[in-house]
Amino acid sequence: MRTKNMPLVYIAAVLLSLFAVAPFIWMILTSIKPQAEIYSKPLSYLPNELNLQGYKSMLDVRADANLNFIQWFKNTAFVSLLTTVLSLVVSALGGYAMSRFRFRGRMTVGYVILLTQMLPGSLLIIPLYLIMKDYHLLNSYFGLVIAYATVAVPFCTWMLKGYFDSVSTAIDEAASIDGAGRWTTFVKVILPLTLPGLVVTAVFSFLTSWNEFMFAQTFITDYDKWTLSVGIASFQGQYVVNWDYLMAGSVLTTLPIVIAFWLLQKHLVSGMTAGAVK
Amino acid sequence: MNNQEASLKQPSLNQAPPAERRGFWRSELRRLKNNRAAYLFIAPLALVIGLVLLYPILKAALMSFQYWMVAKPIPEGHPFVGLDNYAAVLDSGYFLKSLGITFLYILVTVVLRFALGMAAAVLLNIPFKGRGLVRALVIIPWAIPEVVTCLVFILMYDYQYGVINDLLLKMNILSNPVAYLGESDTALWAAMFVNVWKGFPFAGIMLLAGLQGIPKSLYEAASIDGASGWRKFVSVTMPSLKPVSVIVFLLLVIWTIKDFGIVYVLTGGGPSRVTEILTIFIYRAGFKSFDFGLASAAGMFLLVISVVFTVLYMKATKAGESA
Repeated sequence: MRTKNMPLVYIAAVLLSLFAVAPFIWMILTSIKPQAEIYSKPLSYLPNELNLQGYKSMLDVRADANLNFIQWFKNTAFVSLLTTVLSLVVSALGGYAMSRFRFRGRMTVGYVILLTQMLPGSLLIIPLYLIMKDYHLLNSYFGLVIAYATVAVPFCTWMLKGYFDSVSTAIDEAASIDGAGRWTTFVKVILPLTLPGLVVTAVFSFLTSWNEFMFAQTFITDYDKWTLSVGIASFQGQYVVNWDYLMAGSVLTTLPIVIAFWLLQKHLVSGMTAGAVK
Repeated sequence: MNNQEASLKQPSLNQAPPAERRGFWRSELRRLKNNRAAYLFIAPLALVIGLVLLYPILKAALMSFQYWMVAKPIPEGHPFVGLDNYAAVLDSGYFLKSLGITFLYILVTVVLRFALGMAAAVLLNIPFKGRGLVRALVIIPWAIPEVVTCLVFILMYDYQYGVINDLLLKMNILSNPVAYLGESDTALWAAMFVNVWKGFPFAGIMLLAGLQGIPKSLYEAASIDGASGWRKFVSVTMPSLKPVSVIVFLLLVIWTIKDFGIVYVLTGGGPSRVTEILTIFIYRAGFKSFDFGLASAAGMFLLVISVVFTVLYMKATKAGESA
């Protein structure tokens, strides 16, 4: 039955792949085309000449006063990393408690976490803005980390609880018979066992922060404190759009993520499906 | 669960024989000790959730009943104004329009992402040479940052130099180029297309996981009964995939309610507010008109909508567990 339909399967596979990658390819092609070709009529699809001016300007701090790509890259990496580390600590502790202990209010915490995970950020942004204004956290990386925690903490807790659930409680009991306390069991036994889950959760949390746009664009006003999303989105509003620059910046923003996705593909997919489908 | 335990144990306090009572106290003490550890583990989480999520939500709820026109401060500060903000939201005319746009946006993009995701999942479930590569390629839209996706599409949608116009003109599908994001007839659909492109891999991968969980024996049994390929899909695949489908569907809806970045970067809600989904309405009320009260009141409507779908999701996942 399968052999009969095989040509059809290949045609569908090619069409689907083309649909998925075409914009990605177009981004790369545009980033290495000279401007004259980007604005040519008829449109030239493949670059006739190689133009790396966009990449050069992105990676050279002094090239253009209107962009500070390296700084934005560092800012984004710093904020994403800090968000991930802090959220992971809080969520691992909380997720372990949710998975292992039966305490009053456990169900309530579970519902609150699930609910908050579904909440639109645009609902939170106004009260958060005012709170941050009161505590002088606007325009600071720490304020942005707090805003990102509203997304990362519920998400990580939910994922990690799932991973802890998949470790048998018999292991906790064995550790406790050997005289290990709750804390020792958690740090020395459970965390090493769930390391793959911790990595997947960390990567997801990092990527979400890396890609975030709304909070960063609202809370950070200083141009050299911007994140990559805000920075590259700002080019687009200018009266002259240098698409080769813009696409070079886009490629450089995307590259770390696509590489991370490909390297961790199997784990990310199983982590995501386990967390949500289970 | 705890309440049950407690109510079961309390009456036994008076009637239990001494030996057992000692056992009861010991277990009670152990439970307390256990619980102390539990509360220590949960404390940072509870603190964070309380401070950065519950407190802001309650603040927003409060603000929705207060005067918060930041640009027009009054000496009283932020007095309570009853339901004025809610009345203003409903009177604004744009709110109901925005609600309609939001529902259309959710309906179209969720259905299309689901359908395309299902097609991708069915395809990737068939063993063929190069399947791993196709799967890796299909994930790409999911991996590309939202803002980057929007920028690439702005370029491709361009009226003069966009590749989409160029292709459609060459194929004689169009006779004149279209400014997809600039015309009120096409802007919303163009934004929906970007959302579908970016979002279908997630649906596809979740459904693929569901497909791979269907026991092969079911298909073999159907083959023995002489079922055709399509017949197998309808009688075996679709019913087995129902629990996962419901969950994926609800997740897509819940996430689309939250959607902001794609439409905001593509169109900013324009032209003439035809792409102003609810999240953009709230954002504009807050940070363009600086009426935080109005924005918070509109936010409460959004809150109700997401809570409804979240409760449905909770019910669906519970049902999935017991099945």
